[in-house]
Amino acid sequence: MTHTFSNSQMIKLLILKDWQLMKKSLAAYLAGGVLIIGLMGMATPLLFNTGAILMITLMIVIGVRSAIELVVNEKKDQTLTFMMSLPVTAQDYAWAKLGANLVLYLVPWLLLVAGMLLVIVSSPVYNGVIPLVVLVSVFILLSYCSYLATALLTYSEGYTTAVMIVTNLLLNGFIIWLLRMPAIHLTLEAPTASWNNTSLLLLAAGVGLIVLVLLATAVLQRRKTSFL
Amino acid sequence: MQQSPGRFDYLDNLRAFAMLAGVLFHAALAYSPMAQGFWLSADPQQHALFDVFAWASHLFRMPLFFCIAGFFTALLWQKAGGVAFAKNRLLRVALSLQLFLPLLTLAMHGVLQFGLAYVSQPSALMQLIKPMLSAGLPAELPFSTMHLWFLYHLLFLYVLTYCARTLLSDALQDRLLALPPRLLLLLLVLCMLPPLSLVPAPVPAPEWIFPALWALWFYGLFFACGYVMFRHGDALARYSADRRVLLGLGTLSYAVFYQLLPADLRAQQPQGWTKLVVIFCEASGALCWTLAALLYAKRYLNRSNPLLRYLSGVSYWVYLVHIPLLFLVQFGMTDLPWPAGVKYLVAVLVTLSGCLLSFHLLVKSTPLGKMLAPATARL
Repeated sequence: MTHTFSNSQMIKLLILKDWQLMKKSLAAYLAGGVLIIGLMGMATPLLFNTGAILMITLMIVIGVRSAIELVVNEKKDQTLTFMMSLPVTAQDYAWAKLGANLVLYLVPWLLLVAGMLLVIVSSPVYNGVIPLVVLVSVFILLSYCSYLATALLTYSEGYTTAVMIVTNLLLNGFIIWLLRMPAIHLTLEAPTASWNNTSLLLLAAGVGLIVLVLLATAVLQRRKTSFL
Repeated sequence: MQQSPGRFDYLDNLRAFAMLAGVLFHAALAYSPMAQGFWLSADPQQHALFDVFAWASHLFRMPLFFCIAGFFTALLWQKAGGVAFAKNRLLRVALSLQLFLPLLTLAMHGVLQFGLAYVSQPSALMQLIKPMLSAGLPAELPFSTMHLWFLYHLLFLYVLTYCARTLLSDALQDRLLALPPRLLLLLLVLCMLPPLSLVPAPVPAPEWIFPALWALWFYGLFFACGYVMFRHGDALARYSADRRVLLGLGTLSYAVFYQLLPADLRAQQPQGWTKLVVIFCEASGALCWTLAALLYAKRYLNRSNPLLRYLSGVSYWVYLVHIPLLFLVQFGMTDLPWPAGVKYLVAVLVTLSGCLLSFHLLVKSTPLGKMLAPATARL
C-alpha cells in the first residue's frame, strides 16, 4: 500500500486535471439537477414522473460521459502518450483515474439522490416510494462502477460501450422486477418508507456488489506494469 | 460621517433596512384585510392602509435583498476566491439556516399552542389548524422553511452562480449592458413574466423545503442584476438620471397592481388579460422600485456612523428571530379592542425591543454574535 500512494502529489494533480476537464460538464449537471429537483418539487404526478425520468437520465449521462471522456478518450486522443512522459507510474495513473472518476460521479450522484429524497419527504408524494428510489439509484451507481471498471481495465471504447448498453438495458428490467415484487409494490403508496427484509437485502446486495467491483478493479490495476 | 474605504456602505445600510422592513411587513399582515384568510396572527381589527403599505414593501423588499446578495456574492468571490466564498456562505447562510430553522419551528409550535389556548377570536388559519392539531395531524403537514426561505434559496442561487460562472462567458454581460438602458429594463420585466404567471399575486413565500423554480427564476434575475452591478461599476450609474422616473413608474405600476388585487387574496385570482396586467405591473414595480432604492441609497445612505453600523450588524439577527416573538405579541393583543394602528405600533416596538435585548443578552459576545453580526464587534 505504501508503494501505491508513494506519488500522492502527482495523483492529486492528475485528479485536479480531470476535475478541470469536467468542470463545465459538472456545472451543467448541477444546473440540470436543480431544475429537475424544482420540477419534481412542483408535486404534480406529471411533473414528478417527468422529473424522475430526467433524474435517472441525468445520472446515466453523468456516468457515461465521465467514463468515456476521462478514461477511454484519453487513449483515443493520444493524451495517454503525454501522461507516459510524466513522472508517474502506471499504478499512480490508474489510482488517479479511479479516484477522479469516483469523486466526479459520487458528488453529483449524492446531491441528486439527496435532493430527490428531500422532495419526496417534503411533498405530498407517498414516502413509500423511497426504497424504490434508493434501490434504483444504487443500481445506477453499480452500473457506473461496472463500466468505469471496464474502461479502466481495458481502455476499450467497444467493451465499455457494450457494458453501458447491457447495464442500461438491465436497469429497465430491474425496475420492472422490483415493481413486481409484492414487498416493494405493496408499500409504494404507504405514508412512510417501508424498509422490509426484501428491500434491505437488495440494498445490501447492491452496496456489496459496488464494493466488490471497486476492490476487484483496484486489485487488477495494482498488477498493471505498463500504461497499455 | 464618511464612507469607509473599500466598503459599500449604502448597500450595507440598504440591506439592514430591507431586513428590518421585513419585521414591519410581517407585523402589518395581521391587520391587513387582504391577508385575513391566510395569516396566522390575523387580527379582528383591520385597516386598508396596512394593505397599501404591506404589499408595497413586499413588491420590492425581497427583490432588493436578492439584488444586494448578488452584488456581495460577486464581491466576495472576487476578493476571496471560490473556496473561501463557499466556506463563508456555509458559515453565514447554511449554518444559520440549519441552526435557526429547528429552533424557530419549535418556538412557533409553542407560540401556536399559546395562541390556540389564549385567543378567543382566532384567525381563519388558526380555526383551520385547531382541529388538525387536536386530531394529531401536524406531522402530516409539509415541512416549512418559514421566513428563512430566502436563505435556503440563496444556497441554490450560489450553486447556480457557480454554474453560470463556469458555463457562461463574461462577454454575455457586456452584450447585455451594450443594450440601451431602457430596453434592458423592458427585457428584464418581460423575463420576469413567466415565473410570476406561475404563482398567485402578490408573490407568495416559497417556503416548502425544495427549491421553487419560479422563485429561483424571479429572484435569480435580481440576484444576477446585483452580480453584474459589481462586475460593471457603471451599470447602476447609467440609471442615475432616471431615478425620479423609476420611482414614478414604480408607483404607477403599484397603483394599478394594487387596484387589480382581489379583496381577499385567497379568493379567485385575476385571470386572462387581467392576470397579465397584474404580473406586468408586479414585475415593473419590483424592478423600478428596486433600482430607485439602490440609486437613492447610493445618493443619501452612502455613509457610515455608529447607528447605521449598529443597525447593519443587528438586522440579520432581528430578522432571523422576529417571527415567533411577533406572533406571541400579536396573539396577546388579538382580543383587545385597541385600534389596529396602536396594536401595530406595540407589536413592532415590543418585537424589535425583544430581538435587540436578546441580541445583547444572549448573542453579541458569543461566537454566534461574531458570525451573525461582525459589524457590531467594531462598535
